[in-house]
Amino acid sequence: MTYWAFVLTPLVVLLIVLLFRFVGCSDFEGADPPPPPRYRDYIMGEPNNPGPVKNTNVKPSSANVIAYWRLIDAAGAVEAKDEKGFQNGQYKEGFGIPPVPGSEGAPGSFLTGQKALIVTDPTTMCRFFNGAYVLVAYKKNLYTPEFTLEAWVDIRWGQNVVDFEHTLFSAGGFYDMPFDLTTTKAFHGFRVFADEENRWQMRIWPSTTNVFQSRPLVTRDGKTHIAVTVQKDGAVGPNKKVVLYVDGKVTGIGTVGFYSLPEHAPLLIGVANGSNDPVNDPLKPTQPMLCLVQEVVLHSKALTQEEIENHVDINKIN
Amino acid sequence: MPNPLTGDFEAVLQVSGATINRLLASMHQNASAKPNLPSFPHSVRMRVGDNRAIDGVRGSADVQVSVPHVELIHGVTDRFILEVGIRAWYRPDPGTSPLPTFIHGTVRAEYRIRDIDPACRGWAKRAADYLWIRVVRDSVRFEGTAQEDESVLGGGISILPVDTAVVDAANMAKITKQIAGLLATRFEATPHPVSNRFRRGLLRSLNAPIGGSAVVTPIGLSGEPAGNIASVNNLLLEGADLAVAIDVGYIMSIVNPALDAIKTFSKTVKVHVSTPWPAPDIDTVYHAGLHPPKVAWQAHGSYAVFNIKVSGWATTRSILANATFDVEENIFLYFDSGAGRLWLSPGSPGVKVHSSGLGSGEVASAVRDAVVKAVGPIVTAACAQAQPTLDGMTTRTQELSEQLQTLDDQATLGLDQAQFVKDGIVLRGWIGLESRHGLMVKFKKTVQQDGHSALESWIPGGRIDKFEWSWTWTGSGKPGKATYDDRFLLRRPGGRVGRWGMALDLQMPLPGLDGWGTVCLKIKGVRVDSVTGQLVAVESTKRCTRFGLNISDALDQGGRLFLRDMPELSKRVPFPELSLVRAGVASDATRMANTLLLYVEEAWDEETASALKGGLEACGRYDAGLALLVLFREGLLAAAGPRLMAMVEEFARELGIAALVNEDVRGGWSRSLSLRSGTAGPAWGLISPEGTVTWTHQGHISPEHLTEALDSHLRRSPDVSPVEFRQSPEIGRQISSTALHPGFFELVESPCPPPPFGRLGGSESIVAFVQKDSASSHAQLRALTSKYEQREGEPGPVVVVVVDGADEREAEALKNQLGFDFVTLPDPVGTITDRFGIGIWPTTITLDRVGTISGLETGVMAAELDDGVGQTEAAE
Repeated sequence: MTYWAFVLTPLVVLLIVLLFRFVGCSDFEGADPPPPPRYRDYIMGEPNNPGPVKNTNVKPSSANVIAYWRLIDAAGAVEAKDEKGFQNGQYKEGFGIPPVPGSEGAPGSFLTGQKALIVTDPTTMCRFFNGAYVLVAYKKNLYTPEFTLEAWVDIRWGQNVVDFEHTLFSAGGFYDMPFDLTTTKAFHGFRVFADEENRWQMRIWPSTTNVFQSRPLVTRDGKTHIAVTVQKDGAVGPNKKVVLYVDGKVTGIGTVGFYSLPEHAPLLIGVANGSNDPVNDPLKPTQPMLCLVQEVVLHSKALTQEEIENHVDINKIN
Repeated sequence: MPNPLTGDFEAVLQVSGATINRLLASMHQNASAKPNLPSFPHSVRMRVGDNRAIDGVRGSADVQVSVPHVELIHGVTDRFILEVGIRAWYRPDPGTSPLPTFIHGTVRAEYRIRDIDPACRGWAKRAADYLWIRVVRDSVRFEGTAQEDESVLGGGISILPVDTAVVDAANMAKITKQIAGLLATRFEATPHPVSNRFRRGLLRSLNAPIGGSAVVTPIGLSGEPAGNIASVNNLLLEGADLAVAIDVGYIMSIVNPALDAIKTFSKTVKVHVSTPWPAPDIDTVYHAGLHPPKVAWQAHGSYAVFNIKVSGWATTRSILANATFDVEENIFLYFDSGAGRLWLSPGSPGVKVHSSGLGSGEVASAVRDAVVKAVGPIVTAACAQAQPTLDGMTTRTQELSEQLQTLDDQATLGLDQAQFVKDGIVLRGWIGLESRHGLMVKFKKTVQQDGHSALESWIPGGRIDKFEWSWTWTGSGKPGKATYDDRFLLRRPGGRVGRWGMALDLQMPLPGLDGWGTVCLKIKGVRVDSVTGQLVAVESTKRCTRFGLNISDALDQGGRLFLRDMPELSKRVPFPELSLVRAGVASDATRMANTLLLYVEEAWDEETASALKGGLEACGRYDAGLALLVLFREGLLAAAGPRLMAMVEEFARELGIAALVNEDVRGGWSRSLSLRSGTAGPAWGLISPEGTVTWTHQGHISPEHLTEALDSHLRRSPDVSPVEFRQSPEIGRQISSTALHPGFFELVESPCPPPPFGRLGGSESIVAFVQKDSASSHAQLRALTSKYEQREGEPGPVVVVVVDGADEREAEALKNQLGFDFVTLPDPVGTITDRFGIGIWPTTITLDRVGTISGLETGVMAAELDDGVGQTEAAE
């Protein structure tokens, strides 16, 4: 009889205690934090969690995303897919950019299969913009009075290469608006570029001076996040406040009196247009960016610093 | 009528509620440390509401979970109450329904054992073989507190007056609903396969105000148990962990084999009766037999007796008298608690023979002798036959312990009591479990870099009730304290982030986040005693983490570079006696930044400050982290330290750059960077994250020149973030007796064994790590001399002094200079020092007799803090 007692004692205890095992099983997620959301999902407001970002109160949303070109399309692709479905871009290559004062020369090609700039998509390859570029044809509402333009880049021209400008985004030029007989030729649009001293800068037309007094040096030795925001400065009037962010930090704040939208002009990623008139003259790529570019997002509002910090944080996770 | 001990059953087993809770505590203790054993997590990070949000609540939660506690409900067969303490930090996803940030309290829920519907997919053939416990949603209760995070409300926000009682009630209801939802879904128990013995209706809970609680289950000793479990009503444990009760009826039934031999007793007895001459003697044969025996169970508390009464007869066909007789035999049953065995021991049979007539005297005598001779062996044989059954328990103990060890690998069990009562036997025993582990005090910076989280602190098998935080600054900051019971976070309201990554305009800056210093944590709480199952109060020692300058180790090639350990200022230690801390002891090499070293020969002047301000503000490098290290000539801070430090730190704070103000200890820094001293002007240097000197400048500099130097020479790196110092050996670490052997790892044969400390010494040992030319080290050696110097005839600990950077001659000189008589080891290139991971001098380690670190002290001994923030740690 004692034998039975000893057999049963642990069995009873085992049974009772094992009933509680559920709390220690895989139902619990353990001490590790949940996996971070994919960068793309975060931008599109589709994350299942906000991830380990600094500003957890910021709700990601795609409502203000006009277009989102990840630029990870396979080699040979003609179109740069817009995740938002607003307007696909077109990969343009197969021409050379001759060196001229202020612009490096480049073979006008893409080098595909480059290491991803996004840690949540490590197997996704991006492109080296070696003088080739992406053209986003004009479409109504592509440009808005307030906007944010952001991208991840990895600079590839040399530190000692000076006296050249390298353009990341450009839209517009010196032209008169089609179908509007009341206008004459004027500057419209904007350009985001690294200046001849390799510092980030921006120009917003019709002003012909650069926006930022404080110009951060371009970042080398790896990826960097660059974003510019343009928003109304003050309740009334056409003044715009322009903010430049590098890796989520405010590196420059400038004010322009007016921003003339580059209506009818394409948005160029990776080059500037050497032709004055983007509507009537053939496009003449110049000032190639010579870097890896990925995750270009155009928003219809000026993102807050917290929102931009989160975009950087999401891509910090290793 | 049911047996008061066992009800309708032959036997029952009772296991105390306290034992079940002790085992649950073992499971809580198992967490993470013993992955092969079932465990109950002490902390979890989880998402809430991703798949199905309740009331729109969705977000992330970090949760500390206390040891669970089961409360047994009297008389029920299918349910119990589970209680567990939780402490949660909830962060809602943006735009979702809010829930209070800090939730702290006890969850109480009833669980019921349910049948699985065979119609459930996949369960048609299995349902009957499983038990499934499910929470009763309506029974879930949460009692505690729920607080919003006041740190994110910020200053200046006015909150409209509200009825806090209404808000509290609403929050509690909301939290309860979330918890109920989680318990019913996410944390639902999976069905558990069980044998027939534990099917529903065969387990019953008993709980009485006196007697405690137990789970009882029937035991079928001669087959499957039959009866109604509700017939078992009495608690039998009397403080024991387990009890087995056996029905007297069953006990009596096992006596039958012993009586079988008696029943078949048949004996012929030859009797010779002498008669007076001339009558012939009479020789005859008696035939003896027995009537069915009567056996009585006589319980006497600590033992019992099987009282066997048998009557019989002895008849003859001769003229001699017939005889009848009565036999009474007692078999004693007692429990040997030392051996853990039940013993059967037969007494001497008592035989009374009744005979009258011719030769009755001889007949009676002969019959008595024959009966005694026959019955004794029968009873002895019966006892011997039963003994192996009783011995089964001792031979099975190891195997059965192993079963319990699937829950607790240190588990043992045994029986140590028996009570013999009129209704049967109650055997009582114990279940021994692993003793409780030490309290774990751990904290780290939050992902958002806005606080320190002690989520991973825990009390194995227990519950944390209080977090006592304290902190000091490396520099002029004020020390602080905070005590919380509802949160494991030490968090400060966020601020603006400056261009160099430091938060600005903070109301409550914290070391590790906003500058360099030390953060300490002590936890208090209760834990389930591994023996009694009672909750006993416990508290940890204070565990401190130093956060320091993340400067590369590579800089100090050819010798160590030192800084003075400024937190010691709060101890009111004379400035020259401040401990020395090694630069480059930070553990996180991936987050090193650039360091701008500004060497100030004489005074902090306006021209230097202006150049620094202008140069930093115009710098175009936003991709490079930078810290400012302002070093004054050695001795300068002794006079004007706090004032000067406060001034420079305030200046740096306005620039938003992390700054450390210190002295050029022993001129090591200026020498390493080839900065000229004695020029009265400042000197500048840039140290890269990799530890190389990328730029130097002697004398005053223009802001433009400084900007140009920064733009050109800064290396890309993360912003400065104070990092945890590479820690000295931790409390509890085992130190090999060869650790003080300088050439141990160099395969150099030594003529002498290692110094006798730790295990070799056989007693407590003290190992002091010192610098040869350091006032603080000298002060510590004097203090050790005063405390531990051997006195004639008095035993004391072995004290070993390791002198970093000293050769044999210098170590001997130090010994003579200070007049101590400890074992002194020169450590010319820091081999021994580095082996121990020492970064602060003096550091004094106490080893117990087996060589485990039981105490660790940095700085000069017995320098108590006014504010209670110390640097002494000891094993719990």
